Amino acid sequence: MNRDNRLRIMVLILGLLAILQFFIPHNTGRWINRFLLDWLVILEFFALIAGIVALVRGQLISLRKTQGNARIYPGLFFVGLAIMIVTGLVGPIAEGSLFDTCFRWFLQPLQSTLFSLLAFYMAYAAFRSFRLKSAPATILLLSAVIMLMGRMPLGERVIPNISLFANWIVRVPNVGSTRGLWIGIGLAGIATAMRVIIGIEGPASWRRR
Amino acid sequence: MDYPALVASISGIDRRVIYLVIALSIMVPLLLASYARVEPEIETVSFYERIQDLSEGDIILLSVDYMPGSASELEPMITAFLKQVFSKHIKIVALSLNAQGTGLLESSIENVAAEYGKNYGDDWVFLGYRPSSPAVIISLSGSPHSLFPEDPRGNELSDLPLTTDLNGFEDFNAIVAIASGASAQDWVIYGYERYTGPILVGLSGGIGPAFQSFYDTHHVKGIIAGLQGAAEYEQLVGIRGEALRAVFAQSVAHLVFVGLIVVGNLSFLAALWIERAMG
Repeated sequence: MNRDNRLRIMVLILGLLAILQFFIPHNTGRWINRFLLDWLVILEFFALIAGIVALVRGQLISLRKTQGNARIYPGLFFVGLAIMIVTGLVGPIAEGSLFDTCFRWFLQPLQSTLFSLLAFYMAYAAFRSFRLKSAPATILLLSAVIMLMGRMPLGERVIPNISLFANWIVRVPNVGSTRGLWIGIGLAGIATAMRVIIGIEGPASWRRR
Repeated sequence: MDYPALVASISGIDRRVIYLVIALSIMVPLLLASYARVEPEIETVSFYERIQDLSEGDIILLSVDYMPGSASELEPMITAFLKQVFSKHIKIVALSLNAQGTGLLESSIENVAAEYGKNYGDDWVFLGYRPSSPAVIISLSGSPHSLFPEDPRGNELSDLPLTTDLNGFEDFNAIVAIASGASAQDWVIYGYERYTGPILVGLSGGIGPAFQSFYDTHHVKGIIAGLQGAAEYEQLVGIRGEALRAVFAQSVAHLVFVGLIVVGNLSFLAALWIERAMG
């Protein structure tokens, strides 16, 4: 039996065990479930390591390919990575530690800044692109204006009762569309899981072969 | 007046001017330290009342899963929530399903706990972070000690008074998930079926509306959504915190947004009209 088929059989057995324990209220079923869940947590730890390795490889390639000032960015990445790993491994990570200081005074403001830049880009995009070009664009624009005005304290003072319209949008069309979305995601998840368990779907290496 | 030139100059306004207007619309209200007065929505009131209904000594499982980018929305929410909880002498068992949430959560709880004279181990415990939110939620429902044998401070959970007899979800009187991403959804998907008590969520503004359907179907019993929700919650708890201050600045920024949309569209329609008039 080749490696791919061994993998397929393993996935089939583990997948069926994970499903069957829902229908068999027995201690063995619960034990198997707990065992699989513990393995899932362990696997996610390895996924984190794989993610870090992929990131380091990507930055190394970028360091090799870029010239001049552009090399600062991968360089900064390696400095940041080294500082966080060393401070996290060597010292404590409690409040007031060097690790906590780096997190609180570097990472936190940097991420917040990056996120807050969205407001500026959105404002410019709203001014330049949010136009009454067609019926769908008009509906989208009106909804956006109602939500912007209706979900803030000053909106009611500018347009009385605007919050009623905003709440209607959130509680009626929004609920209808998101419910459809959740059901679609659920069904697609079941279909994908079944394809993986049966062996139709698998690692990219299977498709390449 | 040269209308075509005027319309062209409005349409082609420099992006830096717009950036400056947005920056001022946020900074000036923040510097003026104005507080907003908000009208709490039913979802926020429901969250608040579910906590108010709990009794002294009850235990809440608090899951805080967000990154620093959402801290400005979610930290005021957590602070107001903790103030309500500790003032009612309710106990907290906290964890994070996001690695970066770990640093944010522990300091938030420590500060409020110190304010109310609450001790670590007796009144609150922080379990730390574990990856894979579905696996963590399912494991927590039945065997918290095997998943979290010790806390990040190195204490064994079996040695801490609050967590010694912890057996699973049945020991918690409510589950509160404060999140900026998919983990709050995992609490609904994997937690609801295993937990009979109320699941309450605090969310960043972007994902708040996506949870409205879960509120309608009673999967979640209360929602605090975004900075506006946090401000509503602060008002319900009776504190004048960061959210009530920040939501005023956000309101002004929203007004500027709407103004920009109106001006942009007027210039667009005027350009169309001029184009047609000139043949």
